Amino acid sequence: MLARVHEWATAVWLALLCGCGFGFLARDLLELGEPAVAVVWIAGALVPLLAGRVR
Amino acid sequence: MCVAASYGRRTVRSQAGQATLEWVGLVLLAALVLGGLAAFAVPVADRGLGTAVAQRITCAARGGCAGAAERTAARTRVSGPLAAVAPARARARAPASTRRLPRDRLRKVANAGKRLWILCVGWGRLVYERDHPRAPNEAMPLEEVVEIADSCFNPLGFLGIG
Repeated sequence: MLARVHEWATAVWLALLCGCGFGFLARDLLELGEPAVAVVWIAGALVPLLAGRVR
Repeated sequence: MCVAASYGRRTVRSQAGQATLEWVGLVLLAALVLGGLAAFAVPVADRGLGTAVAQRITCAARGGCAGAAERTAARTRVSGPLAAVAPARARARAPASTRRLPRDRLRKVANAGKRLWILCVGWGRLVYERDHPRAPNEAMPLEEVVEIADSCFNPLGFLGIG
């Protein structure tokens, strides 16, 4: 049970980190518009989920 | 108050505090280069390299191992009775590794993405330092720290909500 909770928390945390990371790239470095930043954020959050467990 | 005011004026008018900004920029640049190297480094193909390196280190500590190099080489290549079936096994493994390639790339992208938050925080700090020149002994206001953290980690801001 605890292992499953930990696994879920890790996945959520990684999705959040990757979303924020790519969102930062789009917003601050590439200076894209708000809709593009939102799309990039969601895509970035999906990357670790699609890649499975990332070590 | 008078001391603080004169100190503040001297800071704005002179070059004092400029080094802080330059150092932050330099550290960010170094972090960017090293992070880029680590993220996009060509991965070594096999786990055998780790074994070989570990063996060399232990052999050096022991003062030498006779035939260690040969054993390592034998471990990384298939010989003896398994040599005949090795090519077939290699052929059977090849499609699987090819199928795994996109996932490996995704993992690399995810690994790079999950380290980008450091750049976000550093970038926010750099922008703040540029816009608010301070003396080196002046602390950054807590609300500014919270604002940088919020701008980097709050998904609502990225998604245009709120």
